[in-house]
Amino acid sequence: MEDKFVRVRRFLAPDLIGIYLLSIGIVLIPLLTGNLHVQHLCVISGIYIILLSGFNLCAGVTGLVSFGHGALYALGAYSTVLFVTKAGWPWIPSMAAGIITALAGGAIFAATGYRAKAFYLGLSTLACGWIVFKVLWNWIDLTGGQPGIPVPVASIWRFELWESELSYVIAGSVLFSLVVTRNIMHSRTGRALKSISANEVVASAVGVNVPKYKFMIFLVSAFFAGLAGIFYAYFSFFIDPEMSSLHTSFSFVVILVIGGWATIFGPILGTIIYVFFPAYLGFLKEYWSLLWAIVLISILLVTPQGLWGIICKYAAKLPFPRLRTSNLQWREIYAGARNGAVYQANDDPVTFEVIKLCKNFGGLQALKNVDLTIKGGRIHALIGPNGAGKTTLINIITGFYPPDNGEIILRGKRIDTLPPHRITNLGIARTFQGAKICEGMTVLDNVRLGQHTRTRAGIFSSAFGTRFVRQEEKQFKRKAYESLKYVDLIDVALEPAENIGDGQRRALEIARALASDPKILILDEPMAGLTHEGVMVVIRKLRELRDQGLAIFLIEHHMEAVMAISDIITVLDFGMKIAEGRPHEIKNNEDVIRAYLGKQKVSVEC
Amino acid sequence: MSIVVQVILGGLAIAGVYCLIAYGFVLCWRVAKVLNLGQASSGVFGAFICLWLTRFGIPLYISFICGILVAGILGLLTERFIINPLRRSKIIGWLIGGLAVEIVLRLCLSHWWGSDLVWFPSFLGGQKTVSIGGAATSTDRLLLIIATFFMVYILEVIADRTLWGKKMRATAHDEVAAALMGINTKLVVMLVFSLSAGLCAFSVMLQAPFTNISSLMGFELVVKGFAVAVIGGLDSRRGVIIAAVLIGLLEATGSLIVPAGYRDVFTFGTLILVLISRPQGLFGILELREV
Repeated sequence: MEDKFVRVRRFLAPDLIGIYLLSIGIVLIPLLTGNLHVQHLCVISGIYIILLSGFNLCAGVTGLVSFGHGALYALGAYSTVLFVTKAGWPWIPSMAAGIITALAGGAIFAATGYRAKAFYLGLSTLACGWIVFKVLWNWIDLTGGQPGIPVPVASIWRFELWESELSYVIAGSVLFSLVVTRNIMHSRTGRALKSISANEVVASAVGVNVPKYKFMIFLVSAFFAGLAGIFYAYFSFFIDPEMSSLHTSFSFVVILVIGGWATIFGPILGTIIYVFFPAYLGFLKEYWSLLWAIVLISILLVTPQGLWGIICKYAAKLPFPRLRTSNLQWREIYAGARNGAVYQANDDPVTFEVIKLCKNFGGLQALKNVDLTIKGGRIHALIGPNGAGKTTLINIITGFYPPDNGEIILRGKRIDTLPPHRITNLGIARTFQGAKICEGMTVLDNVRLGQHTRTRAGIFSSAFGTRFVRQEEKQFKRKAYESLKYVDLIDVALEPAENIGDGQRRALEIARALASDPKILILDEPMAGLTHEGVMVVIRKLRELRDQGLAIFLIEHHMEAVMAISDIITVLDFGMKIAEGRPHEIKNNEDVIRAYLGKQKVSVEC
Repeated sequence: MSIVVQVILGGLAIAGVYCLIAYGFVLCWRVAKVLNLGQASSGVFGAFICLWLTRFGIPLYISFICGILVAGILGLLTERFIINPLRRSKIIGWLIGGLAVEIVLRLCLSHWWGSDLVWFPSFLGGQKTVSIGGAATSTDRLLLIIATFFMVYILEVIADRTLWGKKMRATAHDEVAAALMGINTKLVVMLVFSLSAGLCAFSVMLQAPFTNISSLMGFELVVKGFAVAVIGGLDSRRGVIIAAVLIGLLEATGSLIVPAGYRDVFTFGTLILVLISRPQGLFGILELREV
């Protein structure tokens, strides 16, 4: 009985109900009003929503704003129509060809910018879109040039799809695209995408293959753009190069920003405003484009979350606490976090070697022939004065900087040429100096991001919410609750990560690193700025982890703590290893004393 | 022989237009790590102001300077009120905002002047042609090439030899450290943005006598300018000058081979190839990620 209830409830989440109502509305509202104009507006909104749901994943969630989606939209439309009219193919295969064309276009667009910073893609898609526009405009023999070409009626076998039949197909596609986007946004893939938008460095540190995800999500959005283009062509019976113009591409950005990016309902709200306002405020005529640009700027400046963000802000203040899903979620969180064991004891102690590592920055030698061995079940501290090259060493070990010379060997294999996400996959997790967390995601999602390397749900299985994905989510959600309990963050689990304090950020970072179930944990100043009690807690937990077989490598300036917990200490000065040994050996080492305190011999009490 | 000279002169003229726009992009990128997509339209706006002023009988040279000033002010306002507040925005708001400025300026201009080509007076008192190496070319075109050359030379001298240039380079190197040394980095960034919009006005007005101007030309210029800047390398001042000449010659050669409508395909084809194979540009340096 219970099982059945859960299964039904899965399909009755509030956001899903909203999506169902919207899809039904696209067909139902025109039927009720019996007005052709209304039908036109509803279906056009539907077409925009299909496109925007993909565009939102790419531009809103991942932060890859593209000014070339109009071109992909046109590519889908033109190639389908040309396959039907010039090659004489039936409609369905032509549609497939159209979508493949849009995907191919999307692949080229994405290839121009997926490895560089996000804004390169924005500008290169602008240029790519311009090329498509020029080709559609000038290749008159094929595309009919500027006046455009008429589109024949869509037909499946002998059954013809006129406006009203097509509106059912479009409503179905709206449902499909919204459900798929929603599922992706709440999945492992969605978290990876959000982390790319929040902080690419963190994303690669938790094991997300950033370029791959960027490329993939651009293709997903190209698919939806192509599909929307095809529907537009067959619904309006006419296409022209204006579809691929900057004006069209820009309108998608306008809708996304006005409505609210990275939410499911924001783009829907934006679309409704964008389509219906000009239709009923006709007296503004040619001033609409100008007006949209001004509205866009004002929304960006005044309320970056868009109108949906404002609605959510006020809705949260309404006195209906029972309706909030978060209550259910809280109950689940506290129930799930009963036993706070987070790290599985490790019976296969790892060895990790750094051999003769060198790194230069311009003329500065940051590291000179550094040798190091990190072993499981040992806390290894790296100390040294400021600028000694400690963080540089960590950045090289974790793949963020390439070494100039030397080798890094994990279990007999060289890893110094691997990118950061591959290194994380091998079981090396790190934190950052000054705690880097993904703002805009909840504390819980930040920890779940850490599980990226241990989970496997791909984009397609996430999109359709397969049984495997659901089970994986359930299992790892519980583990995340336990990690949060372990670092004492369970009470802020659903809080946006940017709202928590400095000490909590550090704890969150450690929880995130532990969530990847690492063999080696690298911590960059985990105790900086903590209170005495805080330091004690960290010391106790690090010892617990060490006793379970984890290799811990930490940079720390808190000498008392370092001397108390370290099994072995390495001292760096000006990029050179000047000493290594047990705490009491280091304490009395003359080179170390000189590096810290200057030439004169002074006795230090640590 | 004459055809070679023709292509070279044509290419240099195209290079002259793109060079200053791209140079402005590079200056902005270096000091602020953001770009103003509205700068070319600000330049076109300035050019129309100049044209409008000449209709009141104001001498061309004075209205020319007014045009540059108006563009500079537009660049400054855009930086202060739109680009700068959006510098840290998550969905590259500064890019979207800049594009919105471009659209606003373009639409305002087309409501004011319509969207057709408009005749622009010559700085040398009328259309004249001279013959160089057997190729006839208009004096306006030569003026554009020479003036751009001098402008670039002056800018390089300013950047390398003067105190303001030093302030600019310091800001580019490390904004926080520069501010700590007492440099008013805000002012430097503002001036650089208005300078780059002014440069756009300069090059638009110099090409105007032989291409005429239209309210819609800003978009194409900004996209081409960006293409040139990226091909050269967004952080390399010398790189964009070379890239501008390369692209100019490529377009001039290309327009002999293919129909006029496809001329841009060469530029953008090069851009796509460069972005795929060497995203930092031909002369740019790959930055280390900040960790």
